[in-house]
Amino acid sequence: MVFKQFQAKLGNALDLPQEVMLNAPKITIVGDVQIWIENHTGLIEYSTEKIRVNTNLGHLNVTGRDFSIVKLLPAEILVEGKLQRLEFGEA
Amino acid sequence: MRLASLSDKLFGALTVTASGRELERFFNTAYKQGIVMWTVRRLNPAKISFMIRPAAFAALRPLVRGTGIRLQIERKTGLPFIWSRLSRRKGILIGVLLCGLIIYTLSSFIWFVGVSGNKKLSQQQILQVAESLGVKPGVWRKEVDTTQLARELKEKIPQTAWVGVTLNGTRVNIQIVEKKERPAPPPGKGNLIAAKSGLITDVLVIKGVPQVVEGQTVKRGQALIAAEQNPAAQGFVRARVWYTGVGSAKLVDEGVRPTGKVSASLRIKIGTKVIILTGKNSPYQLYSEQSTVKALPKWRNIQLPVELVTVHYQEMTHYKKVMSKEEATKAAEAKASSDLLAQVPAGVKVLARKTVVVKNSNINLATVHIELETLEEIAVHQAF
Repeated sequence: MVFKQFQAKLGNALDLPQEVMLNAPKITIVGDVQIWIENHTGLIEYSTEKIRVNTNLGHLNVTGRDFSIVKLLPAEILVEGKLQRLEFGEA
Repeated sequence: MRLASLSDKLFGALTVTASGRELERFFNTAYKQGIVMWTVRRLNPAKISFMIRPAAFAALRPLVRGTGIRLQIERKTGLPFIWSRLSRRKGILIGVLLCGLIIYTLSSFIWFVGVSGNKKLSQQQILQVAESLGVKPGVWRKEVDTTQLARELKEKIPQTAWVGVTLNGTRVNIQIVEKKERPAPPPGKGNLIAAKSGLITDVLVIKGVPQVVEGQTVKRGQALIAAEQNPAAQGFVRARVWYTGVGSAKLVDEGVRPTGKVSASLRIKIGTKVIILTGKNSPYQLYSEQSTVKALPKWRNIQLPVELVTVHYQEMTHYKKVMSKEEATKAAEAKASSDLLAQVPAGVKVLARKTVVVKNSNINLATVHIELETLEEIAVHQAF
């Protein structure tokens, strides 16, 4: 815990992006049609209505309609469809 | 997505369906191995389709072993597959190559030889000469040397003043300019007589007896050089000739002229009956009309009595133009000048030009005479 706080402080001092310092996912959403998740650690569930992705902050749940994975790379996932909800859940 | 689908075409792509349970686990292990997947779609709870590069498919095989997941290739897209299909069907490939080769070969021969610009020389004649020089349909294109051919053609056909040869694809164009022929000496016997009245300035006798001396006035048709015996009289007689151009213009000019407005009416004439399709009789009060008739083409001996008549109306208007004395004189002079131009042959030497404003009894009229004095050749041949 102390280490994490130190890490955050160091990051702030050096003006580094948060996702680099915290190893957190970076999520980019375009309107309600596209979501781009970088720095994920695994795909847990995929269906046309729901996508669950594992990250360092826990599960990222995305719900909506007509999802399709446009790109699936080791640390990146690009999803298109109609986004409705996005939430962080417990692991 | 455009760029992605372009690279799909270039490098090829496989559309694969994976069916079974716990497909997400399979995907996780796959991309952790560095296998790139895209356009992942769940088709139904137990089936997902995705795209991969053709080379990656082999790497997927060991991953599904023992998991109960079944992989199936649905579609192969892109150039590598087209290429392999083509190389399997060699006939098409050979056909395409052969087609290209045939077009290339055929286009390296001369197919047509065209002649243009010939008036008196026949096309046949020129083509024959060209053929004797080795240019005819069927000759290899590279063998035609256009500059040399042009030079040789000009030498072989003495009636040409200039010959140009251009090679246009499979066509050789021969352009010809013919020499202007010199007038032949008069055949048989004959005198030289005056074509115009004038004052003789020079007499040069080549053959015959001169009938006039320098300084003498001659009338049109008068004998200038008489032939002695058989050969026709030959020589030059130069004389001063006078011309008068007359022009007049009204000070007050009245009449009708078109306004520039036109309209047309389209009619069909069947027998003697006329049906107006468009337009009216005439939209103008003062007009001139002009009709063009188009009849159906005659078939055998049957001429159908149906005609298409287009009537063009031109609106006319009255005009009245009042000119001052000076303006009228100027207009008259212009008319006199063009009157003169019609009389005087081109290229003669003009010695003097005088403009005279003629006094007129009619006040409404300005008249101008232009007198022109020229020096020209007046002798013409007259056969006995």
